[in-house]
Amino acid sequence: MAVTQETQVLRARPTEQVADWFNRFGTVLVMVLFVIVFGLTTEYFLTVQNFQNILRQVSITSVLAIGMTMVILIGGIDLSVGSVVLFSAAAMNGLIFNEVLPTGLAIAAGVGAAVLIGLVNGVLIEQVKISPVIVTLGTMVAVRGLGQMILWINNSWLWVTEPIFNYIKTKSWLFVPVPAVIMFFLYVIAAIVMKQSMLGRHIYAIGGNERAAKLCGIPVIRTKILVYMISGLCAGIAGILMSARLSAISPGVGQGLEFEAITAVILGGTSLSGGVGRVEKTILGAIIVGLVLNYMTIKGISAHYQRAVTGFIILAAAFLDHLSRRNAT
Amino acid sequence: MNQRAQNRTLRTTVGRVFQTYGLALMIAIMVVVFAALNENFLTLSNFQNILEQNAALMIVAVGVTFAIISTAIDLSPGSVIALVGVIIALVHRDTESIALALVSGMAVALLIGAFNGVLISSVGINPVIVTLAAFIWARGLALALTEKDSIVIQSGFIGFMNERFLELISPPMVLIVLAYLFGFFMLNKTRLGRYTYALGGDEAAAKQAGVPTELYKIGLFLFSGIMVGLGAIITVSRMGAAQPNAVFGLELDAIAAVIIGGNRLSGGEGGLRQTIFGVIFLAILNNGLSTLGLRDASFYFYKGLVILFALFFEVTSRRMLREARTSSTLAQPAAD
Repeated sequence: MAVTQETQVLRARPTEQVADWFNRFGTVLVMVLFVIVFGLTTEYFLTVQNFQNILRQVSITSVLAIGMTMVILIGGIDLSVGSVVLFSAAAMNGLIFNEVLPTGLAIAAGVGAAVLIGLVNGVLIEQVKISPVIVTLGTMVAVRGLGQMILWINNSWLWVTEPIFNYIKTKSWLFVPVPAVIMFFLYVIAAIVMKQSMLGRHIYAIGGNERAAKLCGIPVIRTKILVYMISGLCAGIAGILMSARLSAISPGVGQGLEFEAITAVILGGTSLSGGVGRVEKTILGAIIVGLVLNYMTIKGISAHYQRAVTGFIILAAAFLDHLSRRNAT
Repeated sequence: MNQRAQNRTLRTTVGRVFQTYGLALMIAIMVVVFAALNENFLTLSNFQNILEQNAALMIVAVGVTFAIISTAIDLSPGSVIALVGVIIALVHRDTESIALALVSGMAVALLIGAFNGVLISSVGINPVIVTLAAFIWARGLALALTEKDSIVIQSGFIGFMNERFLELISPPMVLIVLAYLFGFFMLNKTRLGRYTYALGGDEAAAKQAGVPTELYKIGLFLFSGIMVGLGAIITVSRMGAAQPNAVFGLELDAIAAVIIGGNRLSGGEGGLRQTIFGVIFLAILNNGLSTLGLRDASFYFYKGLVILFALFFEVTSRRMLREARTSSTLAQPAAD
C-alpha cells in the first residue's frame, strides 16, 4: 500500500504531465503546426525564398529580443529599444555620410551610443530607483527625439550609402541571409552566456529571488545595470541590421519594435515576473510571429489588420503561458 | 547635535520642502520661462487653449490614477481613444445620428475596459501585457477600419463642443471639472475607491478580509473606460474628425503626470489632488513647447528631458523624506 501510494505521488497527474510537456515543447509544436497549416493553404509559403524572407524579417526583432529576454528575466522591462535602434542607425549613418569617421569606427560609435543609453536606463532604474516602465518610457520618447534631431540636421533623411550594409542586405551564406547568420550567431553566444557564465547564473538568481541573491553576495545592482547595457548593445546591433535593410533612415524607423520583441519573449515562454525562461526559446517566439505576419502578407491582409492581430497574439501567448504555468504547479 | 543627526534633519527638511513645494516651484519656473520666450503665453485665451488642448489627457489621468493606486498600469488609453473615435465617426457616417454614435463609442470604451479588466483580474494575466496588447491591437483596428484616413464628422455637436460660452467656458472644461469631481467622489466616498487603495496596499490581505477583489478590479477598468470614452469624445470633437493616428503617446503623458504629481507607482497611496498638479505641469509643458514652434524632434526631446528631470526630482525628494523618517524611527529607542 505504502509503496503504491509513494509511486502515485512520484508519478505526476496526467494533466500535470501534459502541462509540463507543453511547457517544454509547446513553442516548437505551435511552430511546426503553423508551418504545416500555412504550407497547405498557400502555394508560395513553403519555398526557400520565402523562408529566407521570413528569416530576414525576424532578424531585427530577434536580436532585440535577446536583450529583452535578459531584462525580463531580472524582472525589468525595456521599452526604449525601438527608439535606440533609430538613434544608433541615425548616428552611424550620419557619421559615415558626413565622413566624420571611417566606417568601422562609425558603426562602433553607433553601437557604443546605444550601450550608453542602456547604461543611463540601468542607472536610473537601479540606482535612482525609478520603475523600469517609467524610465524606459521616458528614454523611449527622449531618445527618439535625439535620433530625429540627427536626421533633422541631415535634412530629415539619411541615405544608407555604405557598401557593407548593402552586402549584409543582399548576400546569403549557404542559403542563409547574412542578417540571419548574425542573429543565429548572437543567439548561440547568448545561450552559452546564460548557461555557462557567472553572468547567466547571476541573472537567474536575481530573477528568482533578488533578496536571496543579494544576501548570497551577488552584485545585484551591477548585474542589473549590465543587463540593461546588454539590451542597449542588442539595440545597437539591430541598428546595423536596420541600416542594412533600409535604403534610407527616416524618423519613424524602429517604432513598435519594442513590442514585437516583448511578444517574441513571451511567446518563447519567458515569465514576465522574472527568473524563468530561456533565451534560445525566444528565437522560436520571434519566428512564430514572423510566420504569422508572412502568411497574412501572402494572403493579402492589410498591414493594419496585421498589427491588430499582433496584439491578439500577445494576449494568446500570455494566456497559454498562464494556463500551462497554473497547471504545472 | 552630532553630525549624523544634523545630516538627517537637513535631509528631512530638504525632502519635505521639495515634496511640498517642488512641483509648484517647477510649474512657476516653467511659466516664467515660457512667458519670457512667448508674449502670448500669459493670456486668457492661451490658458483656455491649455485646458482645451489637454482636456483628454486630464480626464484620462483620472482613470490612470485609479489604476496606479491599485498597482496596475494601463498603457492602452491612447490607442483606445483612437479606436473609439473611429467607431464614433463610422457610426455617425452610417446612421447620421450623433447621439447613437456617442453612445456606441462609450459602449466600446466600456467594453474594452471590461475586456482588459477580466483578463487582468479573473484570468490573472499581467496588466502590462494585457494593456500593451490593447495598445497595439486597438491602434491596429483603428488604422484598419479607416484605411489610415481620417473621417470627418459634420454635426452640430462638434460646433457645440468647440464653442466658448460667455467667451470663457467651453464644454471640454466643464467635462474636466465633472470628471475630477466624479473621480474624487468615487475615490473617497465609495467602496470602489476604498478597495482601490486596498488593492494597492495588500491585495492578498484585502482578499482574505472578504473583499471581492476580482470584481472591484474589473470595476476599476470600467471606470477607466468611462474616462477614456470621454477623452475620445473630446478628441474627436476638437478635431472635427476621427484620426486613427490621434493622441499617440497620450497614455505615457497620463502616467507621467500621475507620477510627477506625487503618486507612487507601487500603489496603495496617493490621490487625485496630486494628479491635478501633475496634469497641470504636463499641460503647461505641452502648450509652452508647442507655442515655441519647435520641430517634432526637438519637441519630444525637450519634453522627455523635462519629464525625466521632474520624475527624478519627485522620486529623490520622496526618498530623502522616507529615508529620514525610517532612520529617525529606528534611532528613537536608542535615544531613550
